[in-house]
Amino acid sequence: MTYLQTAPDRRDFKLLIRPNSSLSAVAAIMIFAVFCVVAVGIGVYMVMLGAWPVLPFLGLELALLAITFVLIKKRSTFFDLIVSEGDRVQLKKKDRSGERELKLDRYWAQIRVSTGPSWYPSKMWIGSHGKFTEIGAVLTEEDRLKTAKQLRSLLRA
Amino acid sequence: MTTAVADHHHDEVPKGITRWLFTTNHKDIGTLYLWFSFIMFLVGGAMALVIRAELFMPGLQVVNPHFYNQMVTVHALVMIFGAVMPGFVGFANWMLPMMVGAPDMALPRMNNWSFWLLPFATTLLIASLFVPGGGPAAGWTIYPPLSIQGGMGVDLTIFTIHILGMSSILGAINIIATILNMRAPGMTLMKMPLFVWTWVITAFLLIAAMPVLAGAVTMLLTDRHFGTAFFSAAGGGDPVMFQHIFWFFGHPEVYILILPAFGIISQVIPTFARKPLFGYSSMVFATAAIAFLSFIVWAHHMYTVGMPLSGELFFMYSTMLIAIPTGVKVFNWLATMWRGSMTFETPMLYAIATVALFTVGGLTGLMMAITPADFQYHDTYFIVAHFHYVIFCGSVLAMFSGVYYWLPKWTGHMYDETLGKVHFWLTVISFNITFFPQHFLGFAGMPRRIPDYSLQFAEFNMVSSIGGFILGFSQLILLWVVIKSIRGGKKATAEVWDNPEGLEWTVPSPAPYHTFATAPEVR
Repeated sequence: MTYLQTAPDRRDFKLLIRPNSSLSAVAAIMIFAVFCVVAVGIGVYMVMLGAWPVLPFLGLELALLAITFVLIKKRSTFFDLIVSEGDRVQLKKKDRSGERELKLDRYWAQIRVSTGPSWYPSKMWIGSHGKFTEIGAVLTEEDRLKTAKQLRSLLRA
Repeated sequence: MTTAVADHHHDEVPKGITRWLFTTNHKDIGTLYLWFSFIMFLVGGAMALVIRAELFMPGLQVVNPHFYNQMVTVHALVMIFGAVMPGFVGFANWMLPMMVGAPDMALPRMNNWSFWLLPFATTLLIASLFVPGGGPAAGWTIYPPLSIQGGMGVDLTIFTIHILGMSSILGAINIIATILNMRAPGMTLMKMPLFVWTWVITAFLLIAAMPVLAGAVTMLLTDRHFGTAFFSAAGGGDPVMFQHIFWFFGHPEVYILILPAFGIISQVIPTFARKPLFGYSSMVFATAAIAFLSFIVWAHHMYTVGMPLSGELFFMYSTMLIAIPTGVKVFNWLATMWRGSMTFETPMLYAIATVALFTVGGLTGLMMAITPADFQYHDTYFIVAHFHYVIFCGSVLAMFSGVYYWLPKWTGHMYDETLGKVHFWLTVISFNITFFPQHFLGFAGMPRRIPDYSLQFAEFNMVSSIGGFILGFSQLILLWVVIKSIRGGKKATAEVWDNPEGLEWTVPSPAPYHTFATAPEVR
């Protein structure tokens, strides 16, 4: 998902790129809680029967589920924020390696898109002087191409 | 943070087998699942033909009784865990991301792993037939004490079940993450297509039921090799406890096999009736109700073990309750067709056959829910007829409906309608020739899982075997139809059918390798 704010002259802008995430953190916790309640219910019944070896499998599965929810929620906090003010372009980025920043000179800043063979998604890069950083990895294919076009036009404004 | 970009093009495109081994694309993985399912369908079908060949006449003709029992057991395991479950996961992989407007599954690498566990697991299962002592021969329910006494084949089966369970759980977690977290903006839960709803509920069932099976077979393993006595009466254990645990998994498993089928026909019927699905919300709640009830009915599989009367009454009434949400579904499908502008292309024929014949299986299920009556039907051919009407007509026919419905979207070509209809009529007629007489055999008292039988059952068994062979060989037509459609034919449009509903019809046919190009907005 992209969110764009521009000044009236379209020179200064802020572009935020975030992954689409339809599951809120509260909903994730609630759904996980439902799984826990069901698992505890089944676990208690199995122990009452004498079938305690079911418990490690229930636990393992809950752990897997928890890891999945943590992973997808963590992924939903990733972002690329491109802020252009005057002659400077600043990129703030959060991905699995953590939060980082890059400052560029607006006149030299370039947007590159590698399309590659048709069955791979494209990649979008921002940078200058041979050093580029990938942005928009969380976007869908057409959104990425559209955003690249939009960014180029904004940087030229 | 900066990266030197030497080459803006990606790595070489994987070619040949590497594409399929390492793919993380949901469509590739969906295709792998569907082909795997079809191959297993043929393998399991071949085993069924061994069974029917043996039962063609009274006496022992083709195989010895021990091998016959192995065929009965492995046929069921292959069909349930190798054909039907992976088949629906194949549909889920292909269609769910497209239906919710997501570019791929939430965890694509895990998706690859979930699939590639399957061939290893089923190889172990089939290999069990060739080890000393042969394969598992205790029926797919692997009841002790028979399974505790079995040879090494039972151990291989236990490992198979563990691996298949792992694959199912990883798949289920992936499906839940995809549906809950990757829906397109505007696609609220109550706007999701029914197929998506049925899969999210199926995934919940898988997550709840699979650890129970894993625990049960682990206890079997420790009873066999590590001196425990969970199920051994001689050591103070209880063989009936296994039945409770197994069916606590086993009955939800039936709905794991059937709910995605309900989802498929809920997509197909509105398209060919040219009306929206009648009672969408009630369909969603009925699916959830069936899933809930599936956890409180397990002991109807074991009325004859000697339960207290109150227990038998509870399980009888709770089982009968399932008829209500199921009836709601059947009513809604019929109401969708009512006064619709219907046409009868192959997917619709299969969907109608699913509704009609699954209902036959549902009604015989109600007969068996009645405890005193079940004492008569228990372990007879009536049960065999019942569950084939449920699983074959409910799940497999719906799968065929889904294959014909979405095949043009997958391949980009229309399938051969004439061949599709030939496949349909041969399948439906031969299925009924095979399984309808088995109701009468059961009523007359023919027990299941026997390679030889009394002369009074000869005629119906002969008819059943003839039907079985026609049914088995008819499936080669489906193979031909699919290959023909992959190789060419009339180009399919994006919509394929007359104004179908759903995001999958907004992308071109064949669906591009990466959908959705644009995150669609659902209003």
